[in-house]
Amino acid sequence: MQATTRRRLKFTAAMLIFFALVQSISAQSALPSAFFMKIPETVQDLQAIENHVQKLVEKVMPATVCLRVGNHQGSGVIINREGHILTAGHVSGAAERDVTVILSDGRRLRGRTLGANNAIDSGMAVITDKADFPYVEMAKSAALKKGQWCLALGHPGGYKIGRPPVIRLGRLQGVSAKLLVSDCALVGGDSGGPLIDMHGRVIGIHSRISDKLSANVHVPIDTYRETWTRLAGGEVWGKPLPSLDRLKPGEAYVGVRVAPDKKTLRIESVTPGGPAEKAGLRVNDVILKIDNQTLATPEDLGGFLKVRRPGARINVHVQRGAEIMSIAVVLGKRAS
Amino acid sequence: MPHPRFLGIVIIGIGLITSSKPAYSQPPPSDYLRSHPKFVQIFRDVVQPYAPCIVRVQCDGADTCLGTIVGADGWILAKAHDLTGKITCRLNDGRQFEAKLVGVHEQHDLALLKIAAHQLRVLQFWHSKNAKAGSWVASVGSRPDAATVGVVSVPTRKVHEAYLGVLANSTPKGLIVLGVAQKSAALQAGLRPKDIILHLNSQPVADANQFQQILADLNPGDAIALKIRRGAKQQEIRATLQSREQVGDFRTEFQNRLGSDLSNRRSGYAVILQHDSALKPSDCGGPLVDLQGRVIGINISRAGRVESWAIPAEIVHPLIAELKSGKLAPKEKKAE
Repeated sequence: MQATTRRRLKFTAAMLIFFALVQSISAQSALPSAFFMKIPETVQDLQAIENHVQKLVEKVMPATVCLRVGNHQGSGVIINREGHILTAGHVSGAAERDVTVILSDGRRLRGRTLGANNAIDSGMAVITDKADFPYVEMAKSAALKKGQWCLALGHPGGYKIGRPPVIRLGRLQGVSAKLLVSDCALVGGDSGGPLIDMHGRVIGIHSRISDKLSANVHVPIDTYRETWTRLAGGEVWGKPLPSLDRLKPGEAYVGVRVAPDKKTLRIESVTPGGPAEKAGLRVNDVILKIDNQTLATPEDLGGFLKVRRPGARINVHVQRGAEIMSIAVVLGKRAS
Repeated sequence: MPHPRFLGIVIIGIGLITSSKPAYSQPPPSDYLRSHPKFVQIFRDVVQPYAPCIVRVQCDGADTCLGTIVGADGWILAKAHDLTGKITCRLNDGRQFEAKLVGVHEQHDLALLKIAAHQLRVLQFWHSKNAKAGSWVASVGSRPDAATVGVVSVPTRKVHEAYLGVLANSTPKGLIVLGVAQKSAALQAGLRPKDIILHLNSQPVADANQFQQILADLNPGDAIALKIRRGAKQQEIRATLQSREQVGDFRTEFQNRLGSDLSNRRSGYAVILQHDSALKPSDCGGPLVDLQGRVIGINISRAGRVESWAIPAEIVHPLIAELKSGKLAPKEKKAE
């Protein structure tokens, strides 16, 4: 064969391989167009989203874990073969503590907490048992955009036997270097769990919520990259985010004064014209429970009222003399 | 200035911070929310066929829940828990009927009502067996568009709620109690940290998984016997299992109630299909449909900030005949 023909053949072969590679890379990163629309338009768009998300769930769920550290529990995600787990700073807490890692199939592994940046609420742990475990990759959060679709996994309310990590689908509502906001609803227990992009990579770690259902805050993944050595090295730094340990005085008002009476509460006085008087509660009624919650101290009642809203209807179960009765009270609003 | 609320719940502490406002520089664009009318509209063809099969159920004139027509001669399936007083049903065409409560299934929280209407449009049930996590679901309400939309968060599962309130770890020495939750059955029964749990109901338990497996088959209210080792002695401890709701602490309650109203009943269900839609409590009792427009469940509870529950269609459908038969006639109410 002539030298030029050989060269041409090599060149053609190289180009073919190059194009093949480009094809396969773009096929991997090609997402259904529905993900790029401002608002999807048709049921077909939804179907494409659904098909894609269902596959993603199968891929990322096994890397989502529940973490138990001392008295607390939260969630986390395994992001490499070495068993490093990304989580929230307030879940891992201090470094060098024992962690129980519960995998999505119920298997338990041992681990150790590493570092945390309390200023942004990032944290890390690592699996110490020798075992096989899946992991998912970290994305780059600098390229994230509002409107981008995302998947949240975690263990809201704590690990529950028979319940795998809980899936929520949403979109980024806000992006900054320090935090991501999505409309994937989170609640206690989800902290430390992963926010995943449509390529199946971690873009954020759940941290906190506000009173809007659609405002859920995640720590951006780039912060873990940027501070990797400090986190993996077990350093804990940063001034913790300001938090209200005590619930703010609430607005819901029932209009009784109570005193503890063994394991129950006795009504000492009923405010004239208040919700309790209107409903028929009386002095010396002994409150056994309200709705399903047992109350034993005045602080319990205060705590209960703080989580309810004016206008809510509660069932107060009382003992009056020898009778036990249930009295419905519509909560009023405390005058400001 | 945001005031994040740091909520570590003890035993089992669940970390998630609550802030009053997330700090991003611009307000969230509502284009990217699933509640955007243009997004909800995509599901219109999926839910609209069911509009004539839905009724509004009122108790003493107040909107209480939705009802689903399951028999042409005026048989309406509704959510049982909040039904009280004089029950009426308002049909899609505006006609209003008095309703008689003819059957109640306590555990699944389903009620059958009878109204004096005929030739009503009956709904067909599908099943939830193919409803994988990530599948779109639409909740049928009393308007042409879906009441709310979301995705399946956890496929149909049995709910395990029996709660002892003990945090224990598997160690080479056995299952060691690390902590006992406030107000819990474990605390009341006298279980203490460092106790080693040997047997649960005469079954030996070597590790946490085994322990949880046995507990998973029990129910709130069940009495259990634990054989433990405390120091050098072996002891027997008896406890009565609770439900998680009974020992819920106010911080978790507080977080769960942020941003949406919850149903009055959020526990005691045996089998549920969980989705992340923001269902209103008053829209429980209506059907949940998949993207193909098939009824996969009946919405039954807004159970938390991140979850709405439906009774799977394959559970509901066989119950209708039982509810009609009179075998599940409601108990006589005590005169108040």
